[in-house]
Amino acid sequence: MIANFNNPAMLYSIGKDSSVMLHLALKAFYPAKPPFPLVHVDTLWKFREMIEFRDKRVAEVGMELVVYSNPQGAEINISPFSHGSKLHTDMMKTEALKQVLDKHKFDAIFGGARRDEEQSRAKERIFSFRDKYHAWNPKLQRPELWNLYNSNINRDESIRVFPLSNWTEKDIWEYIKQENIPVVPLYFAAQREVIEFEGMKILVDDARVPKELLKEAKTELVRFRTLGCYPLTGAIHSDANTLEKIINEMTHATTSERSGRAIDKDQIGSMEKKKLQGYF
Amino acid sequence: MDNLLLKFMTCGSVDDGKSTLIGRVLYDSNNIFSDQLESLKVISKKYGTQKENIDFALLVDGLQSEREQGITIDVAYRYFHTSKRKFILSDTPGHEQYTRNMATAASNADVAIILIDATKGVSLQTKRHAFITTLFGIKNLIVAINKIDLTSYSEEVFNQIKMDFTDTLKTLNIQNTETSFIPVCATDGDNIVIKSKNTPWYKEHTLLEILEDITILPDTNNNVRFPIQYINRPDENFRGYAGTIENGRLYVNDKIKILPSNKTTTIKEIITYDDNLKSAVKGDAITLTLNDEIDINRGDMIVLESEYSITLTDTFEAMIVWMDEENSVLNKNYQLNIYTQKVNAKITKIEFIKDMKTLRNFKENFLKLNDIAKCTLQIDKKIVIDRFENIKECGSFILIDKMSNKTSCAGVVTEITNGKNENIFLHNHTITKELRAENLMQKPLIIWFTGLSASGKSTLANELEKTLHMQGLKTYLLDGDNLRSTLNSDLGFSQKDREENIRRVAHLAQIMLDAGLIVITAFISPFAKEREFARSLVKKEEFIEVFVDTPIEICEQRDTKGLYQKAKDGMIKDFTGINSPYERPINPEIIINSKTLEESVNQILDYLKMA
Repeated sequence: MIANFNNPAMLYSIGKDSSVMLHLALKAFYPAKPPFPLVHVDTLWKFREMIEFRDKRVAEVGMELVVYSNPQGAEINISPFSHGSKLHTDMMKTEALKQVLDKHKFDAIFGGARRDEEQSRAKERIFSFRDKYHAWNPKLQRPELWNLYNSNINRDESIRVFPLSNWTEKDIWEYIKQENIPVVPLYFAAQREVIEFEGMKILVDDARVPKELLKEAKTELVRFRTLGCYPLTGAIHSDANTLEKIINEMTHATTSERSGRAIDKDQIGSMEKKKLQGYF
Repeated sequence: MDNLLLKFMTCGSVDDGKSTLIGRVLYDSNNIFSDQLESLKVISKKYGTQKENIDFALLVDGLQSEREQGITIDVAYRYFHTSKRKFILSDTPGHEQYTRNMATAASNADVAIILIDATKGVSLQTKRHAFITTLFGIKNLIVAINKIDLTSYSEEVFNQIKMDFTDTLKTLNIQNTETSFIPVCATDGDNIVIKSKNTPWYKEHTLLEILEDITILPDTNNNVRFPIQYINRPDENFRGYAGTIENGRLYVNDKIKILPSNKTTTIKEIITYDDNLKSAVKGDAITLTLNDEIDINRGDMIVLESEYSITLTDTFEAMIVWMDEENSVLNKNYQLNIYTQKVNAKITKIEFIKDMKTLRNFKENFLKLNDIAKCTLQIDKKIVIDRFENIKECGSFILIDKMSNKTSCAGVVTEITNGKNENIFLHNHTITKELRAENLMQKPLIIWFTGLSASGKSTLANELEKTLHMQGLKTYLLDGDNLRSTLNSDLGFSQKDREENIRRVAHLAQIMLDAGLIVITAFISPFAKEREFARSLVKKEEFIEVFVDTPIEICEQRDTKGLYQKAKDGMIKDFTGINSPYERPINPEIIINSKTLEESVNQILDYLKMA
């Protein structure tokens, strides 16, 4: 795959999937280091622990890190609390990603998306072609047979590569355990200060949480199944503070992973609409 | 982890209840999360066809536009697990316009579930599914006979479908497959996860049990194939060759050769991130170091030195599925990807196209979307290529259109033809069939009559030729009278000779068609195989099969040549209809029965006018 492109990169979102993907890359290129940079699209609203973890991990593996935020966001002081999840995600994730890809002219970008996350992702290719506007066209996807991938592109077009397409959430955790891969501590249950916001239990992560919400703050035993922007990511009640307990919880789970994500529920078919515009 | 993983696909149409079956499997094995169930209930109300009940079909119809159309148009994947196994299910629609999607799913699956509607039995669609899935590498089939409730849970219906399906595999020449059959009712869940009380005669396992216990037929070929994917050079002192072992097992110190350069050396180390290994096997991603410095490129193949018989290939035959909206062009340059190798390739010949509606072979100069065809391909470099049957990973390829960058086709190698037929040059004549036809001002055709002895073929063929001739058309009638005494005078009436007789007739008709003529043939041609062969030699619209369906009692009464009497008296062996079978055409273009001569000729003329 790397041999097929001029300027590849790996999208590093700091979550568990990214951690596994990074680990796989380290293994694949050993004894060399992976010959591409990590790219983090910072929405300015990530959990603080994520950013700490990112900097520590990148230093350990010794790879180049590109951090990018959409400058428009800082200008208007973008906030999911006041601007709503849709505008925030459009500007700080979808737009920001397109901007950083254009700026660095990356022609192939690894992503950690999995087909089991959401219905429209279930139809995503492993090598997903994007036109020069980064748009995904579900009707014009390249067929993928056996392990043969078509990586041919013209100038300014790109390919998103999803090596974890066929992994499930459970596979991810079992592999993290088997390979002893470090992950952000937020995945493990602990006493945390949380508040109710838009029907979710969100973490009081910094001083930007609106004061009126803070009145209801409680300390509860919670963990996160996925990590994104802290005001948009719901915690779950859980006492799973070890990998064994997380895997066990997974085996008996009755809700899906992304049920804790506000952005999937904006409207029916919302993930598909985001993808058409260039979201991962 | 991988031993536990089963990848399977489902084939069938919405009408067969396929989506419902999948939804059932997921629901009954507790693989639907409560929030998904909630959202399913909301969607069911908006789009569902099951009134207030949950429409399981909607669970698997992914994209929104498809949801609104009520059909799935691509491959959708579902992941689930039971205490015994993990599953990846790929779901594809079944109509012939989705052949490419089905081929895609088949290339990535171990098992195919073929759904049959019990009230309809084995259909052409069933046959198509069996053909495509096995062609692209599936060896384990599960035939789920659905809607068994609508047959009052009939064991007879089940057994009949089982027999018909087994026959289908035979006729399609599908070998080395394992098939299990299971009666189910997807809407009620009979025999899906829980054994049904309604089918006490069915003693085997439920669908989920079969999926949990099935063992995939293992590979039988152990020849080492290690294609180089990446040259790993972190610094001056280290040079490693990274890739995945596609077949066999490699050990440290193995004597190997690198193809195509044919240089030999030995393996120094097998390196992985965790540890160096003593050996590595098919599927392992490794980096090798070698004891000699050799110039090696991406796409080169490492094999054992002891594999003397391995040859390099630049010409081969393959079955391919065309996946591009743009038609194929003979001798156009495409990019061929096979394992980690990329070469230039062209299709030099289309042997035949299999019509996915009828499963008949026909001839054409180009391939269009969803065509499956046998072709000869030539590449611009000699490389290692295996037959798909022997080593899947080194016998499967894709072609990419270099202009549009689309994946134009995928194929499996059926035969290595290096050197063979080398001395036969097909001349491209300046004057083509089309030019001759233009000169004759007519559309060349083969009108192939078939039917019992004394059914009236020759009389009808003769009358038809007369009529066409009077209209100024250029025709020729081939029958036993003018062939048995000339071209085929060396042939007798044994089974073998009768087959050879028809083979020659078929080719002669093909040549006369090429001359621009309207060729009429009148032979019993009792075997479907022979008639299909004749059809496969020409374009789809150039062959018209006319079945003269006169009942045998009437033929016997007529007995114009006294042959039926002789056969009954035992004086003629292998007489069609008496002591040798006549295989009735399944989908002939025209069927003639109990009409006057004039009506029959008019029926054919009407067809020709429309065609």
